[in-house]
Amino acid sequence: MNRSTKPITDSTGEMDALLRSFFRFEMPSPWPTMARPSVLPASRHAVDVASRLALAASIALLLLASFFLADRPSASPVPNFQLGPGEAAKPGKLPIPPMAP
Amino acid sequence: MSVTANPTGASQPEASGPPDFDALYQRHSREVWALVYARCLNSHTAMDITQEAFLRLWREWDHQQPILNPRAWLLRVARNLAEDHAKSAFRRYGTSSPQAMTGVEAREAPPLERLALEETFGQIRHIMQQLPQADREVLTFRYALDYETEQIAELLGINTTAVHMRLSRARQRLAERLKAQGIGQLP
Repeated sequence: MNRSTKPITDSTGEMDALLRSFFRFEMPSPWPTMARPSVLPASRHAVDVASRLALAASIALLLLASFFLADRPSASPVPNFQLGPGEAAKPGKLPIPPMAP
Repeated sequence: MSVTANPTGASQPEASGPPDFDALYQRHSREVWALVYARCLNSHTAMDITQEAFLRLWREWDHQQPILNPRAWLLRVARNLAEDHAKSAFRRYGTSSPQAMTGVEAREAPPLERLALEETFGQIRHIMQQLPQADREVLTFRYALDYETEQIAELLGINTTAVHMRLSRARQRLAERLKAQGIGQLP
């Protein structure tokens, strides 16, 4: 690639011109604007309060549910079977097959 | 300047937020960009970090943190972000970013003159990377923002004599290396 090979002298003018051109090239143009965030991010304090409230509500719901279920009468009460001596099963439920000779 | 604005009322974007945010961006974004650019020598990265710094300023306001000097705050945050980025870039690429190694950034297909210009500027960018950071800072503020010595001194927290010396040495170093590379005038 052809390029001017005239060396840069130490003269102030040429150096200044070169550096100004360099930095002008480097600087964004047009200068970008910065859009302000339209919605501010939730602050840490607000997040903390919200999460604690959610946790408290969850625990309260759990406790209420457990109390409600504990007070409720059972829909199918367990029958009170009395097994006699030598009985290992409820009568009539499990017939014992006859022993083979 | 004391800014303790409270960005409440987020449902009204134009009315919400610190009233000086846009003005602050207009006033200081170029300074922040220049400070970051002097560290990373990548225009796009510098702009990303600049906007990230302003976004963090916004969040600080959202958390109702008083910031007495937004300009100093922005410069400090941007400096830290640039250093973090440099560390992560070093882990990924070694001492030089891909842009610095190629010298030419991906852009639209340019005409021949633009290619030559980009090649020359890529070489300058490469030489700039070899300069000390202090040199790059004064050169960037001087030539990117056309800042006077007093402004650079105030920004960097040094006296004007030191700025003159840094600028002179930086220009000398740069000129020597440009000569050594055989870089000519602008194509």
